[in-house]
Amino acid sequence: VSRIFVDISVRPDFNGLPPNVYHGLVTLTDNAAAVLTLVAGLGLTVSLTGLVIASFTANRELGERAKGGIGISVFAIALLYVGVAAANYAGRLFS
Amino acid sequence: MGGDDYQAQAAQIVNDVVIAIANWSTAAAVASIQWLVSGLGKASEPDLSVIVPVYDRVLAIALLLLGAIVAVALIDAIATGELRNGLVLVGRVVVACFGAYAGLALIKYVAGYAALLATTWTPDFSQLNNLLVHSVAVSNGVVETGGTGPHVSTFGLIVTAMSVSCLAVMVHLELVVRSALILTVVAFVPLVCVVAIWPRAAGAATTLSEFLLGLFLSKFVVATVVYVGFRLVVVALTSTADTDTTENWMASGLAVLLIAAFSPLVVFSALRFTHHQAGSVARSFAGTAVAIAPPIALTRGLTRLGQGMLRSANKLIDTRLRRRPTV
Repeated sequence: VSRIFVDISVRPDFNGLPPNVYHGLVTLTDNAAAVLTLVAGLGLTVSLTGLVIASFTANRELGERAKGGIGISVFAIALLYVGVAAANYAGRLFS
Repeated sequence: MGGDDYQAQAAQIVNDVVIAIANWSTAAAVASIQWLVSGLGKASEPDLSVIVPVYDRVLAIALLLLGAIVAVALIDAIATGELRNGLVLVGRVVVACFGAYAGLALIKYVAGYAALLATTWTPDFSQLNNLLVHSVAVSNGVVETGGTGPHVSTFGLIVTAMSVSCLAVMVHLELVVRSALILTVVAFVPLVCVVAIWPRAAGAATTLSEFLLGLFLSKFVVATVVYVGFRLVVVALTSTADTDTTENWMASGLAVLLIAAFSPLVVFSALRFTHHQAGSVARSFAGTAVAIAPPIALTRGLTRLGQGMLRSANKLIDTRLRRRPTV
């Protein structure tokens, strides 16, 4: 099996990309991550607000949902970091 | 006496002409098949090492986009409330990276086996060629001596030579287009692999892999179809007895050869594993080349001209009839 991969080898050519394309793609990724952070932050804010309202009104169902929302918001950001870390690891592993 | 000599000379000339046509047709058929067989081997396989620089560049772009794709997939998961399955995304990222890095090597591996499969019938084609040449030589001997015995049909040889020649040209064109398509599509493998991290875009990877597999296997399918057709024709031509069965073989064989040459889509749509779109794309390029050929445009122009002339004549006759004085 190793002979198959030795036969033809590929390596990402970042230097061959025009600088504006490279920066554009990096900015695109940053923007997508920023949107995700915004969505997660919004979710966190709404969930915290919901948690406060739930504690005032003693609404147990709303409290549970708010806790779930907080978990999801934090989990989403964590997943982004884990995903990018996995990509970096896989890149080193397979290159 | 003079009449007999003249008759003998005429018979000799006719025999010579028939033998020459038979030999020429056999040579054309055998040469076409040999050309076709040589094209079905490694020669028509795309050289994937040529596109390594392009692949590297696309791989870099795909890796730069990877973070954005993961973020979009996560936003989608939050919006649809399916973030509990978010951990699957990490696994998808690893698999996508493997596909992006190892895609070219894997495709080269598959291409090697596709080329190998397409040469399955090469020895059989050689045997059939030898059988045809031998039978025609024996038949020529029979005709030269003026004897009566089983002989190869000259008309059958002419039709076979024409259909096999057309087939060889068409199949070569399709193989060139197939090779170009593989080279073009393979360059986008890293990008498609990374985009497939997002579950909604996973279909892109499936479509691409099916398309590539179809392209690779199309050569084997065409080689098999050509072998089936050529075998039927040669067996019918070299048969010692002319019966309804051999006539059916000849007709079926020619039909198969013509299908392989002009309408392989029928075969591709029957064999789903070859992903008939791949075959149709390769086929439509050759079809387009024929469609834009000048004779077609000329025929259309003549048809329009004919319609115009008919319309004018119709008007003229109508006018004359109306002007004719009533009695």
